[in-house]
Amino acid sequence: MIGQLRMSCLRSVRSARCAGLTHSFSPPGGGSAFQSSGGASRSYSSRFQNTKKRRVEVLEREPEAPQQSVFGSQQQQAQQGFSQAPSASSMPSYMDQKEREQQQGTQWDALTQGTVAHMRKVYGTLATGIGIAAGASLFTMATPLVAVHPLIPSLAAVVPLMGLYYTNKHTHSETMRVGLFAAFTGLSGVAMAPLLKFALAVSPMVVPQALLITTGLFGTMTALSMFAKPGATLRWGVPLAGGMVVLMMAGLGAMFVPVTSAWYPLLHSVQLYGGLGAPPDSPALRRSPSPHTPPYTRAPATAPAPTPTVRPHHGAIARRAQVSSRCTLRTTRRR
Amino acid sequence: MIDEYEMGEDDHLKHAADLFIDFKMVFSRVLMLLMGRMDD
Repeated sequence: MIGQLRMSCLRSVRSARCAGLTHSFSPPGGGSAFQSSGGASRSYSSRFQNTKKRRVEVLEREPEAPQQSVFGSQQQQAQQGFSQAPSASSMPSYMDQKEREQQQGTQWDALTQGTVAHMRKVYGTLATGIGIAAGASLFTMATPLVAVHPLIPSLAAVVPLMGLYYTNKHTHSETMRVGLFAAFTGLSGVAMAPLLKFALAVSPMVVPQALLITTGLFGTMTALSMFAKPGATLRWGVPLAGGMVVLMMAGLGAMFVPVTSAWYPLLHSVQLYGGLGAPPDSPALRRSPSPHTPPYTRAPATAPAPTPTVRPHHGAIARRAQVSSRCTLRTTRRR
Repeated sequence: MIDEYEMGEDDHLKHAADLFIDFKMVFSRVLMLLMGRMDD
């Protein structure tokens, strides 16, 4: 059949050449099989030359079929444990970066359930550490250990702190790391005992007042960072980093300036008020927008805390896998 | 803290130690301020 068509085409071309006509021949199947122009300037083109088309990106939605691989089971666990996102029919399965930048709402709305559980754990551990430090301070004030220079327990507290920073839960036991944290907070409490004893001698109500004010400051800063728009506090990063450098220089300068010098109260005031106004690691800066955090992954407040079936270390990977399980971006090439 | 968690750092002890250092610094400064006010 193809041979007959080819022969008929050649015959028609030959007859056209003979007649001196100029025409183009298109087979019924679509696409120009060849074109002919009159005279010697005739060029043949195959049907494969007209196929240079753009590669088409097709966003193809795949059904959420259970996968049998190990990674597939991790994806399912990540979906159950972290996000509990609504169904893909009610939410967009793919969000553009520009859409993500135009999101409205606060950072509280963008919190995931895993993040909320992590924050609860962190603040609970912080409260425990404050309690340990308070107990150590009370014990030190009741014993002759209060006469020890506060620099000694302060430097000693650096040792468990470095041990905590240079270990992780995958290489060391959790018990040892909890012990390091308790040692750090306890030694910090011992270091603060002389100051607390002096403050209690000045006025017994100073310490509870300072505790309340500090807790209020922490709560206010955390609330401000939570109810701010995503990325609203990022612009404070550079001024606060500059302020931190100034504070460090003021602290170093105050160590070498005599008390009788006129620079001493200035450096002391800069360190005191500046340090209060710009804490080195403000919680407001702790929340920066992440491009991998879709807002719809926040679970309702009544949902239980997730069980860490997948290590949260792979939180970002799990979220990415969750998105890729719903939609797959495929690049198809026209054959 | 939250950003670090989303980037994969889920060590709550490390984050709690960071917050404890901040809390201690703010507390000591507030205490000094209140003590100075009591002296006046």
